[in-house]
Amino acid sequence: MFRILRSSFSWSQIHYFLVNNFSKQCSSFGKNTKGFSTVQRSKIQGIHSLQRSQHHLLGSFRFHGNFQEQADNTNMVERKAMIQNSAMGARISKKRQEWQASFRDLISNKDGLEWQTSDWELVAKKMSLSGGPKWEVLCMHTLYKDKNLALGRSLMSYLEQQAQSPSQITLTFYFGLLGETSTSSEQDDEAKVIYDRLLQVSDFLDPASIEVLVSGLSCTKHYRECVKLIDMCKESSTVGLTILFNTLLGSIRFQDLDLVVSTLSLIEEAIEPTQLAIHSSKIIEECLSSTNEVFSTVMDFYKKHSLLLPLKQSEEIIEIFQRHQPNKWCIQTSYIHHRTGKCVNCQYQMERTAITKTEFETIRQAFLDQVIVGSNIFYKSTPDEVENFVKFVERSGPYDVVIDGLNVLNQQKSPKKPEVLDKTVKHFHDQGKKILLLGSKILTRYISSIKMLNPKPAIYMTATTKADDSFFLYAALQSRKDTLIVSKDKLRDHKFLMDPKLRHLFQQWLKEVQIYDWFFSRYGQFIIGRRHLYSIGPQRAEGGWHFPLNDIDKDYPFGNFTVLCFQDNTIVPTQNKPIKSQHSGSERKRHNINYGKKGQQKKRTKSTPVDLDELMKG
Amino acid sequence: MCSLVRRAKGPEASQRDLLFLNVNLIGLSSKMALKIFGRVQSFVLTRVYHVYSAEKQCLLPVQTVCCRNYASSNCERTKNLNLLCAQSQSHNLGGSFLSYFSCWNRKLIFTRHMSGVVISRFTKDIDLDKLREEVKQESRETGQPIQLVDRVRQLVAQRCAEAIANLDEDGRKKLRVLQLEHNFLYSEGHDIPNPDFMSDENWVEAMELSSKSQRLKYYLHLQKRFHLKKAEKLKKAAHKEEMQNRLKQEEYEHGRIFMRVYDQTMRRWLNYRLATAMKLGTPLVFDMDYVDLMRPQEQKNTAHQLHDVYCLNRADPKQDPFHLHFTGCHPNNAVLKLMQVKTQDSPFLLSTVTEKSYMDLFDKDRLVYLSPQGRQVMREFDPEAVYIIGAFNDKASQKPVSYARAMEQGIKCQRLPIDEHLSWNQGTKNLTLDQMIRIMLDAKSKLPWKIAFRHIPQRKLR
Repeated sequence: MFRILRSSFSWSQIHYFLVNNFSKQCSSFGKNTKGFSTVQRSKIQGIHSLQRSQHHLLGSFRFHGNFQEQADNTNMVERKAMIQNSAMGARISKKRQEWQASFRDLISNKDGLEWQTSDWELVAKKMSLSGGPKWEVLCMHTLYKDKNLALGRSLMSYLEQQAQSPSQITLTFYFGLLGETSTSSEQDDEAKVIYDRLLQVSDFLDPASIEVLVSGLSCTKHYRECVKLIDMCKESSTVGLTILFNTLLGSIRFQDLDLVVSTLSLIEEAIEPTQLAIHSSKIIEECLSSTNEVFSTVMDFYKKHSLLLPLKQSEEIIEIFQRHQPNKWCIQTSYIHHRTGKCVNCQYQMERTAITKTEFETIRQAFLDQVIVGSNIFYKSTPDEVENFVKFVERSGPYDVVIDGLNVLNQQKSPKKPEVLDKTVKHFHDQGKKILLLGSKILTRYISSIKMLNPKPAIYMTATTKADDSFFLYAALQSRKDTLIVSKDKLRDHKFLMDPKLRHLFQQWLKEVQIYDWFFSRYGQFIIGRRHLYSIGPQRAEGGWHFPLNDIDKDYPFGNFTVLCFQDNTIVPTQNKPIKSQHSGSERKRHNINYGKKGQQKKRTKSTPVDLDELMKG
Repeated sequence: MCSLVRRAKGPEASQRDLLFLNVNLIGLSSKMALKIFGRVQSFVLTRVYHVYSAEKQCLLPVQTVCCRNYASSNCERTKNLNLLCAQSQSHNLGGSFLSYFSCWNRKLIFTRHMSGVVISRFTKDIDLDKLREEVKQESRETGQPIQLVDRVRQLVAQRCAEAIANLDEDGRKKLRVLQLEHNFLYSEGHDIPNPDFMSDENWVEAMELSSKSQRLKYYLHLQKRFHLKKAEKLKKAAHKEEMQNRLKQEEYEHGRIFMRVYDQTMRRWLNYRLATAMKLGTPLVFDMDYVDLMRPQEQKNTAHQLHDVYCLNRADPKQDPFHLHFTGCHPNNAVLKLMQVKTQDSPFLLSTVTEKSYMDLFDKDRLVYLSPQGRQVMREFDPEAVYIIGAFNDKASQKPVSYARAMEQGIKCQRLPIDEHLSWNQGTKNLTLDQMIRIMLDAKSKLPWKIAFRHIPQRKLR
């Protein structure tokens, strides 16, 4: 370990690393040395491939120092955040919180004994909230929140003894309680009786109670009723995420493929599908206990909209897999090699992302109207300019490469030099490609040498900087399917100007053609780094799975290709192949090069000052 | 300080004491000084001069408190002393004092407590002049002052009740569903108003919202506002009590040395300036044709800001206000209606309000649209040009609306030289209308940009 590390680390860093690794106490390790640990990721992974029998915990895949400690810490933080959220987000009134606390005290004082009629009478007498809802509603809501089925039943029977008909809200909460705790079909039927009674009371329901009803219904065998409820909800307002998500869970739970498909299409229509990503762990848990078909349908949806699993939930997902199918999976954090498209762990070849010609045509036709013109053409440009540009593209197109001049130029700090732009253009020019350079009038200062090239690349300058993004996208779309775009912009605003049905296609096309990771080597060559040529989406390997993780951060705005690699122990014996050396080499090269941002590189090479004495004490 | 005031107000107050008092007042922050000086304040004619010292590149507010009885003999000496004091002052004093000054002349009840959708929809066709007459007559008959805002509020409530009563079948069903939902949310323990407290106006507004979470947010907002109002009432009551106690202690029954200048006199004086400006002043255009692009909430905000604009312009320290033009005011323009409700006290708006576009009123060459997205920079205030400001608020969608309009009509479009003079923090460079008028007034009096930009709030700067 020492030998491997010595070559590239400064001594203080090594010391820091070791102290962390063995004492397992300092938790700030990851934060301070994030830079170097990412640089040396492949090497460190090499070390850990020796300990392959232990699976890696994911919260710490970047900082492999003391993952157990890290995981605990993150857990604590999350838990704290959750507690804060539940208090802050819901904004429960103070009176109500106090009431609930006193009711819970009362329950705990009883020590699990059965509640008699007299007890409920006591509650009814003493614990009414002035100006608030009725006491039974309050009780039932608290019991619903606590999932206390026994007490709920006892309360219900008390209410029926008293010959009062319980209100609609009480019934709703009781149904929610019955449904969500349901394990047997008898309880399902019991819940169904309550549900029918509810529908008898009033023929229409409100969206808020539908939410509770759906969450209850989706756990029982009468889950198909959810569809009716959704229709009812649609009449009065839009359908929320919670309702749709619970319906999806219900349909997955009962292995109803048709309902899964229809719910997913409903999600596509009604809400932004990316919202679903935060519930990934729950969905995967249900999918695992369901059939393979359902699982792959849901994962296809994930892949279609390129949903990434949140990094925070990765641990939970691993735990779920191991609970459901113990000893079956060998789980590792891995990543897809950007050039070969293979998982570095299991060498599985991922699919190539590609959109078909007809899909490309649909984007092309929609783009001009939806993005450039939009609601008001003057927001971005003028009609004359658009007309001019369309004619210009017709005259000089189609292109092989479209360069976002301003974006390329602005990668360097001021004073801006024209060399960056020159080299970028020349790189493609030498390959004999037809280039369009797009920018605003500012660019005139920097293109004197580009004009000398033969054949001269097409250059277009827009009047404002507002329009250039949409203009180069238009030019690329008008050219060919494989026309490259050189820009580090994420271009999300254009995605959201598109029709919701076309967004995922647009995103896929962009992934295919955009060159976002370019830099100059130390000899001044223009080099293209990573490209999103292969899908990293959830994909079934031979007997295994690959789930992409959401590792987008400041250093990697386009993601880092991290995946969770699940391998089936029973089919494929665990391979202990070393990670390709060539990859680690290129990785190192990638971080040594100058990005055009001088400051960034300096920061990286600077060793973090470490107080050794303090560390020793710790 | 208090003892000084008391001494000064006493019959044997010497000139020296008064002078000392004057100086001390300036030594404190303006607001505090006015608080202490509260009782004397209305007897004193306060004028604010901005003296710009070229060497210091900063604005020195000089406050001359002229007492009618004695100003003539000691005026020069006072001024000198004031100057000395003013040099040690923070630069912002002028601004805060000015804002206080302009508020002072206002005696309006804010319509802030009226809800957004409701007010813009139901005030559209109210004939305000007629209503004002009615209110006047009624108050004359009954002998009790009746506020126009209260009357408008009553009218709106009445119309809401009518609207709720006359709902068609679908609407009635929707309302029923919403009421059920509200009841459910209330029993889930959210901090929202009791179902009994929900008025017809609130229901009308809730029916506009499409999703459950939006409605919940609205209910939460209602409750929050309710809490705030309650707290404010308590605070006000406590303050009133305290003031009464203090007055009892400091009761002084002899004659006063200061002459009182009444609000009406002051208003007449300011209105005279405005009237002069309408004849001879530089025009400044507010483009009111953005009503359709704004949400009800934003419309309300715009109306508030426009009212501020009117007052700030009237109270221009240089006594050279703009001639305001409100163009594109179609009848039933919701923003204008709201603004008129606000300026209930003054029966007339001393500015040009017209249905025509600014294109018809002025030469196209003279027009300059001010927009944060403008390409050209406004180097200095051009007295020949007619500046246009869009009466527009965009909280939600940040689109270059005013820029697009200028491009469409082929007018020059300029932006303020904010980038050149300030280092901006994150966020859009949109300014509110009251900030704009302050900057424009300063720019018109040829103050340097750096000083004109002191009206931009600090939180927006780095």
